[in-house]
Amino acid sequence: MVTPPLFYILLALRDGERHGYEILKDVQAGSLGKIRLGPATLYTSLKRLLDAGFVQEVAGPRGSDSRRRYYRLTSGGRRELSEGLDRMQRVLSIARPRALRAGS
Amino acid sequence: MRWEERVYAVIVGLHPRAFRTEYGQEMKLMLNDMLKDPETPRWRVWLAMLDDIGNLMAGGVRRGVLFGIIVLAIWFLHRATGLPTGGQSIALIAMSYLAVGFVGARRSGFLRGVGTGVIAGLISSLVFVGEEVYGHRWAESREFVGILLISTAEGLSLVLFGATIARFGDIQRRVMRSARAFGTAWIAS
Repeated sequence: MVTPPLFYILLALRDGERHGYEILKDVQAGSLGKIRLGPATLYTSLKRLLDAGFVQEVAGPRGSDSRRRYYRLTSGGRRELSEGLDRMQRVLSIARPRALRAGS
Repeated sequence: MRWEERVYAVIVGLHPRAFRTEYGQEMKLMLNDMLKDPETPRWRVWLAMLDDIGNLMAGGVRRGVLFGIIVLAIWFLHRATGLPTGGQSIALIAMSYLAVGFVGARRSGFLRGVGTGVIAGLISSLVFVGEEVYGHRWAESREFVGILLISTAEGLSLVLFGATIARFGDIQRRVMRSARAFGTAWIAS
């Protein structure tokens, strides 16, 4: 099970390859601004995901800035993301009716 | 070059060499992206830099605190049980300072290794408070300050020694490089 920042990085890569700044912005947007990462924190997290085999580095799209590095989910990363989303779904399905009952 | 970029270049330079080589260029590029992005206010860029400083310190601080606690534990065991004996305690504490300098420098470079040692020293200085609790009364404040200064100097020397052993190859290479550059400049003049 990955930590919330790592989970949001996996989520940012769900639609294909992205470079660092795109990931950073997507993490901020996806977490509704709750998770803000600095560049070093992002790359420390990306290194962790690379080491775990959840993410791989790929060549950028044609015409992209050659200094940029692009990352993509591996099948293991996609599985981890999917399991994380399932866990969230289960938690929501348990918590929501209770919260509604408590509120009524 | 903007101020933020200058400051950030220093922050990138403080990271361990392996990390810097791998991601330094990308990190600077990302900061540049943030500065160019009209949706990102300047204060947020500074906040991201602060976050990176926190990231930089996290591992070293943790290690420093851990070693500081080890020193405190050795002292407490000695005070509470008499074992290890006074001499053994001093040897163990000295070895802890050597180790914190060595491990810190090995993990994250010479200066940060020394910084880790300083944190360990700050935590372990609680020993002085402990001595008060155990009823030790310093003869006069000059004695207390003297012992504090001597302990700090000894601890720092051991940390520096540990860090130097860990980075001996690097230091040797740097000294040789500086000597060569000096020699070349001398001959050229």
